[in-house]
Parts: sequence; C-alpha cells; structure tokens
Amino acid sequence: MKEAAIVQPGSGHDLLSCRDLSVRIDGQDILQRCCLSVGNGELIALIGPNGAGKTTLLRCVAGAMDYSGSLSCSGKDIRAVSPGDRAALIGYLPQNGQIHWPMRVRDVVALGRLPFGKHAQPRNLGKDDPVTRIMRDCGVDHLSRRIANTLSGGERARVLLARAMATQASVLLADEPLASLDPRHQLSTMEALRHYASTGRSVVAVLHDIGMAIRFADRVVVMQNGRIAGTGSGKDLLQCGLLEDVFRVRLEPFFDENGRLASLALGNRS
Amino acid sequence: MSKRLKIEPLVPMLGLATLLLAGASLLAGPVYLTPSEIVNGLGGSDPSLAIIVRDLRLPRLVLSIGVGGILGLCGAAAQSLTRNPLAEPAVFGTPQAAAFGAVAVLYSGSASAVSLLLPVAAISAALVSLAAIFWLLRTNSNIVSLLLVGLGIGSLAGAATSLVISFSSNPYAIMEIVFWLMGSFEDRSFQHVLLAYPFFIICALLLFPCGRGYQALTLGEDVAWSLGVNVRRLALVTVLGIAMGVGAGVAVCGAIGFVGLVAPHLVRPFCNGEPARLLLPSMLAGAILTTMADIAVRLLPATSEVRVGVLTAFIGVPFFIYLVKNNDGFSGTRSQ
Repeated sequence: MKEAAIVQPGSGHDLLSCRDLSVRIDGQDILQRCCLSVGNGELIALIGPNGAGKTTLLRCVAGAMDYSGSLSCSGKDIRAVSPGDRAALIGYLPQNGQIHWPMRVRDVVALGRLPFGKHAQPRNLGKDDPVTRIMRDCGVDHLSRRIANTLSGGERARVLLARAMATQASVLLADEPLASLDPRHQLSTMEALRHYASTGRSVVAVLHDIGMAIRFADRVVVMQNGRIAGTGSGKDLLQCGLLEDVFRVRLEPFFDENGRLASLALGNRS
Repeated sequence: MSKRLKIEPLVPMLGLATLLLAGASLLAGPVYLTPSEIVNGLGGSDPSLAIIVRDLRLPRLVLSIGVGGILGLCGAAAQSLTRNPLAEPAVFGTPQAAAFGAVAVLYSGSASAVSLLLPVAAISAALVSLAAIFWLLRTNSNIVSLLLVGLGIGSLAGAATSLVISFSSNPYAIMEIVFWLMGSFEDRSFQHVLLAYPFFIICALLLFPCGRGYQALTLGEDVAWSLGVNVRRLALVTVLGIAMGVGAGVAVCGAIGFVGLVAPHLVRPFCNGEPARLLLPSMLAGAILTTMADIAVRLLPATSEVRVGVLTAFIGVPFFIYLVKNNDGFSGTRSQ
C-alpha cells in the first residue's frame, strides 16, 4: 500500500467516526477493522473494485447490518441512540432502490420525513416545505404527480436520491447514486450532493466513476478486500499510483490550466 | 392536490356502505322484516321477532362484520409487510393451523359437548404455529425467510388436517369437517362474538400502529431500518396480530378464503398505493364483502345454505379481475 496518500482519520470535529468496524459472515471477513472519519461539510467518495466491502460499510453505518467495532455520529455512540434519533443523524440511499407500491412521487420523497412526524406527509405546505424544496433541488419537481413505479430507471434513481436527502440527516450515505443516470444528470446529482454537504452536513457516496470522485469529492476513500486501502485527495491518490494498483487498470489523467482534473483516460495494464 | 381531496371521502363512504349492508342484513332472510319489526325485535316486545333479530341475525351480522373486517385488515398488513400483492393472511400459516385445531376437535366428537372447545382449540393452534416464526425472527428479519417458514407451517397444518379427515371413520364427522372448512356465519350466538371480539380488538390495536413501518418498507428493508423502523419487531407484531385476528375468525366462523387477498386490492387504487392509508379502507372493504356474501347465502334458494366462503369468492373474483384489467398499476406491477 502507498502510505504517502493515507490521511489518518479521527482528527478535528468529526460528524461520523467509524473505528475498527468489522463484519464477518459465514467465516468470511467482509469488513476488517475499517476506520473512517467524516468531517462537517465534507463530500467523501468511497471507491473500490466490486466486492471490496463498500456497500457493507454503508449498510453498517445505516443500521441495516450488525457489526463489531464502534461507530459514532455527532459524538454519540450510534448503538446508544434510539432508532428514531439515528434516522435524523444518518440518511441512506441503497443501490438499485425499489419502490414496491404504486405511490405518487411526492409521497415517495415525503417518506424521508417519516422519522419526524406522524406519517410525515406535509401536505399543501407551499413552496418552502422541505419536500418541495428538495424535489426542486434534485430536479424531480416536474415528476411530482407521477406514479413512482412508472418512472424510468434514471428518473427513479433521482426520486430516490431526493427521498434520501429529504431526511436532512447530518450524514447522507449514497450507494452508487450515479448508476443509471445520463451524463447531464450525473453532473447535476454530484452538484446536489456537493450542495447537501455544504450546508453543514456530510455525504459519503459510493462511486464507480473515478473521474467524478476526484473532481467532486473533498476526499477519496479507497477500499480493497474489506479494508480501507487509502484515503486522500484524488490527485494525491492518482500520483502515488494507489488507484492503478487497486483497480488494476492504467489511468491517464488530463488536467486543465487551473490544475483541475479535466478527464481521465482508462486503459488495460500491459 | 385535487386528486388527493377526491379520494379522502373513501373511508366515510365505505363506512356508510357497511352500515347500509348491516341494515339489509337484519331485514333480509327467509323471513323479511320491516324496520319497525326490527326495532320491536331488538326491544324484545315481540318474543318471536326477538328470537329472529336478537338471537339469529344480530350475532351473525356482528360476526360477519368483525371477521370480514379483520380479514381485510390482516390482508393489507400481510401484503404491506411482504411487499407482495399476492400475499394474504394465510401466507403465515396461522389460518391453516387454526383450522387444524378446530378439525381435531370436530374429529374427537367433543365439539357439541362443549361448544366453546372448538374455537379455543383453533385459537390455541394458531398461536402455537407462531413458535417457529418467532424462533426464526430471533436471529433473522429477512421477510422472504419469514414467508417461506409461514408457507411451510401452512402446508404442515393442511397435511395434518387431511390426516385427521382420512382417519375419520364416521361419514357424518367428515361432512361436518368439510362444511366447517368452507366457512359460515350460520347459527352463531353472542357467545361466539364474546369469544372472538377481544382477539379482533387486540389484532386491530397491534396492526394499526404498524402503518408507519409498512410505509417505510415500501422502499425496502434497508431503507426502513435507516428510517428508524425496527423491521424485526414490525414483522413480529404483524404476524402476532394476524394470528390472533385470523385465528379467532377461523375459530368462530371456519375458513373464509379470498377476502384477505382481495379486500386490499379493491381499495388500493383509491389510497394512492400508500400502505399506511390502506389499512382502514381495506378493513371496511373486507366487512362489506363478507356481509354481502352472508346476505346472499340466506337469499339463494338451496336445500341447505350455500357456504359464505364460497360466496365471497363468487362476488369478489369478477370485480377483482375487472379491477386488475382496468388498472394495470394498482398491484404495484405496472409495466414501463
């Protein structure tokens, strides 16, 4: 592993802090002593090859899976927090999310407000209620009255992201939010996640597009074989060769005149 | 929001329909009564009217509303928990277990000696059948595993019922068992009402607060957990509620199929697909279905009464198929 790129977690005021998070299923270590800290306002990209443990890490933090180790959010041990309070702290968007009943899009997004009130269906609250605002931010307000399971895959993905954002949780965990989106909506979704983080919250997003991860994330966390292989800025990780080692591909970055990543060419390793 | 406002009167409308049918159920039968005769019968001023109204028709009506309502409610809960439009209360195996308990009593021949023994055995069998499900839920909250265990229990109880029937050497007992399995509200008394209703009330008290959890489950188990819903507890409470409600229903009226499957589908298009808003309308739709079927069995000319379980299917299925055909999105399976 390239130690140069690794930033030690646990410094400063962390919104989310995982220490020695491990998961073992049927004698197999899915996660091994993962440490991760996420600061206020940070957008973290979690990348790694298939089967690296990214989704498992997110599911543990979301409360959908048992784990060993410790997990704290806003300084509170997550195991000691009631499920309702945890829902206000951590929002979760799973990959390939489904909508099982023919509900209206607006009602699906409003499910994000569920932990905060009776059925949490803010009705007729005008333009400034959180659900309306978030639907506008995610560009799905025009779908409001559609039946959710008649949407296209990309539209559904954006509606489900809006649902996760509607929780207004301190930490938003998004598992592959860009899958099934066209290029324009990939960009607007990354901007929406960036905006979410900038309002005093933080976002951890699993991404497969390394270029997007480097362009938008404050920090990139690389996972491999159930461990965190490295953490750092995208540029540092590119330069030290960790990304090429982990993904076993050749990466050729092109930077613009401001030194920002303009594009990233992928190739097979010789 | 205009469409939302249009569907809000659904519950009062269904409530009104239930009341009208309740009135019709008291009026109609082999002897047609006038409203004033019903008032006299209820007041007890005319002894023969009192027997018809108070002892025959009223307990029958109260049971048909209760059993139908509970079946509708439990059907909506079962579909919401499993997120499967094909689910019904029987997927957890409890009605079959209750039926086995009752059939065992009928077989032993002690049913007539102690008339309450049959329902007590049925409810007990339903609760015992939960043991396997509770054992599963201790470590596993996967809904598919829950369904598989429920189906297993249902098959086992069905096989045990068949075994009892094949052991029975008395043809009269076999006929009694078979007719009982078809479900009926005939000759039920307030004793049955008193026995079943406490379970119905517990069932409703357990299931109605689950609406919020069912709502969250629309987006899958992981999202439900992340929204602060304890999915394991939700499954446990749902299965317990269904066992108590449907177990008690089977105990007093036999096995009435189909209502639990169809009632939620009849009202879902008007509830915007939201599981939390489905519970009460589905309960009322169930009550309407069974009460209609119970009126119809009394009016049909037959040497012996057609069983109500048969009629619920005859009334419900055509309407059900019409709805499925004309509303391709209503079962959650709308194609793109």
